[in-house]
Amino acid sequence: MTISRFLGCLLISYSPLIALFLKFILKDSKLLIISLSGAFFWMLSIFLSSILWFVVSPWKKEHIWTIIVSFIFQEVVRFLCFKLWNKLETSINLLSRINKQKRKINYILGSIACGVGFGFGYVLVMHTGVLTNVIGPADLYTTKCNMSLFVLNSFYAQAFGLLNVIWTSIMFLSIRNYTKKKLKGKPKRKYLVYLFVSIISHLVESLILLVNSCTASLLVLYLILAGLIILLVKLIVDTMNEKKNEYNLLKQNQESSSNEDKNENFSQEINFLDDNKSEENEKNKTDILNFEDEDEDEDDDEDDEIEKNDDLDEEEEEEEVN
Amino acid sequence: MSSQNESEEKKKKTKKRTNKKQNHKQKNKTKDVEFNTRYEIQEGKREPGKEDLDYIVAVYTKQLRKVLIPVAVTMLLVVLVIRTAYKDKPEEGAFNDIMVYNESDEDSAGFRFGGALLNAVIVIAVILVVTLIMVCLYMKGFDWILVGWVIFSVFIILTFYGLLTWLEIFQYLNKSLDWISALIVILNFGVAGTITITWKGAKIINQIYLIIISVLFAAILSTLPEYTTWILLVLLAIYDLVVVLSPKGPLKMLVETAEKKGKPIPGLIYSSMVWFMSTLEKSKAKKKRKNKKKNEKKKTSSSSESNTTESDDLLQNNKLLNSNSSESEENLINEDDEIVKEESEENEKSKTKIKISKKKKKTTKKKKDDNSSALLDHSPKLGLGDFIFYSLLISKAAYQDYTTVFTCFVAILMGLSLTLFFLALLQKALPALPLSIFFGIIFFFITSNVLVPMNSLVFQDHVFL
Repeated sequence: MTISRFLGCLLISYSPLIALFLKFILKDSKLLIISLSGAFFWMLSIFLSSILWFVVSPWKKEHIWTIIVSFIFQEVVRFLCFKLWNKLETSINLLSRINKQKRKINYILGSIACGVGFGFGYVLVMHTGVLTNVIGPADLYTTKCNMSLFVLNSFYAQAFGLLNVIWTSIMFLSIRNYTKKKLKGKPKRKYLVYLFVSIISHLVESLILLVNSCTASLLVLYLILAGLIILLVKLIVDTMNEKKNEYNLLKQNQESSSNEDKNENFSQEINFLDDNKSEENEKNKTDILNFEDEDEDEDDDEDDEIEKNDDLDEEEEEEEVN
Repeated sequence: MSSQNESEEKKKKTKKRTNKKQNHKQKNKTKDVEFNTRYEIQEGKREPGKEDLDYIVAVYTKQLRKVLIPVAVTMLLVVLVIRTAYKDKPEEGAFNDIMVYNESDEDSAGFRFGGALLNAVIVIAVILVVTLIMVCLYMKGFDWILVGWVIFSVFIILTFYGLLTWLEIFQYLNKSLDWISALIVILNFGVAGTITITWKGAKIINQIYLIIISVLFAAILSTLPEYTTWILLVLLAIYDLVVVLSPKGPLKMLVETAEKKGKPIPGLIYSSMVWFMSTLEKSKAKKKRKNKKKNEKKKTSSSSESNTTESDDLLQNNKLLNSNSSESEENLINEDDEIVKEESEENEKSKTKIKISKKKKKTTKKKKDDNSSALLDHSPKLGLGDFIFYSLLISKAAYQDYTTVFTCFVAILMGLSLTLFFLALLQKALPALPLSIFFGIIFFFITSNVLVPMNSLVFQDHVFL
């Protein structure tokens, strides 16, 4: 496999992951750590399945058993990752609420980051690791799809890399939405359905590759991928709507219960959002999509001066009022 | 009535404010809190409590990226060097003159294991001895010896080992090289490196040279026989753990002496020589658990001045101590047929040296010369020895296969991030090696023996798990 074809295969398999990585994850170093830990945990899951493969000799050439076993292990590890993530998030959000600071981790982005980690680990180990041994003048040919084996596998790896992102994010969001304490209303069962669909699709996707026809495998693979993307988008929209609804409910409760500013910061938050809505500022429309870049270090010098000026202004205003 | 008026006024104020001001106000508030907590923590007025964890975690996550990237770069470079130049070379037994026991395939596995264990134990004993010698030297005031040793060893590594790897790469690329140009280039390279590391220089070049030193050293160390490397890594991790976390280590003595002298901590020795040569007085800021090449920034990491006594990277210090004094690499060059152990000492010293130089990478320049900014400059720092041993592990993986490289890469980075997390939480000096090496070794053996055969079988049948 020549180097140009090797690079082509790499780009085919990594492109969606790299796009997601550059867009969402490089900004925030928390997400980087989350994706790294995602890769770590995925590798743990594949180790378990490979150890089982190694130990049980009759399975070595029958791939169906390895598929099922690895599927089970991967989903279990994904669930464990979710639990870990939940714990971390609750603790950090608790601390941020105590400190009255805005240091919340964006939940949607966190799940996507974990998924990207899973995807990267997946493609690295299953696809690139074997590919690098084959660089040279020759190429392997398969009758399936009548193309080079490695190009075909890179297409599969691309799909699976993206699928890992989707599976993790669907799992995280659906379980979260199902188990979250709501102010009003019951948890909806559709989230469980989403979760079930994603888990079953994993098994289907890996089993469909055993089929010998080209079009069937590729078609099914990419159709399910498209369907899951739509599902994920729907989930994200639902979570955002629920967040808005809860926020509005909270606001209503606050306004009805207290006219005295018990929670100054919180009331200021509400007023802040009202101002945004009245001004129709696109950037600050929803709090959820407000990704703050963490590169504040560069602006420190400027911010200091602005800070001083603002403090002075506030003091002057207060003095004037008094 | 008054309260209602006040609330109305407040509402008016909030409505009047624009988005920018609101953002700034919120930023100000958060920054005020941050600054207060930071300041108090630095001044040692209060220890970081649970409320500060949030801030600490946030700062830790910001700083982590800047630690991970150099480690990743070194590891990638090492993989590159080894996959090109060193992989197909038959093992010539580079360390046969040094090691007490020379491994060979003829001996049984148990015998090899015992011999390798002996080798590793001797190396670590040497490290311990040199550590103590260095502590004594520092306590008695012979700082100049340490400084000179550092300069000398950095120069030797850059020129000698640099030339070796250069020649290996050119051999792989089948190119020719004349001795005149080689001499000129290598000498300039070495001199520039020593100057940037031990004196002043641009930050980036400093960092690049430190990376190069660790890459060279790891590439050379990778030629150690197999059993010896693994046992050495394990024992080093244990040694690191013990030395850093023990209450009566040489590091503590070093720290106490530094405090008594009133000089900026051992930064004198291991933090960049910059502090030694220059007139900067930002002493306290130097103490960090893990040195890292990093620009000075206003926002500090978790390690604060108040914890300087504990926050030294004991590993660094120890290895620092090891590197000093005793035999120099002149022995190696002069080919004296001295005791094998001495040569091994040299290696260790050079290793530790690197750690010294590594620590140097501390920022040479500062944006502001205020003491406040100096105080606020805390970035996580990582010793050069850690770099070298991570790269050593990766080099062992590079000899095998790329899958092992990837898994060990992820394992090491994960271990590093976990240690930094604990560092942020516990506010104590922590060893950087054990966790990463633990994960790395486990991942290495599992992938090379179990995962690679499975992958190759599964890949051929287009099965994706």
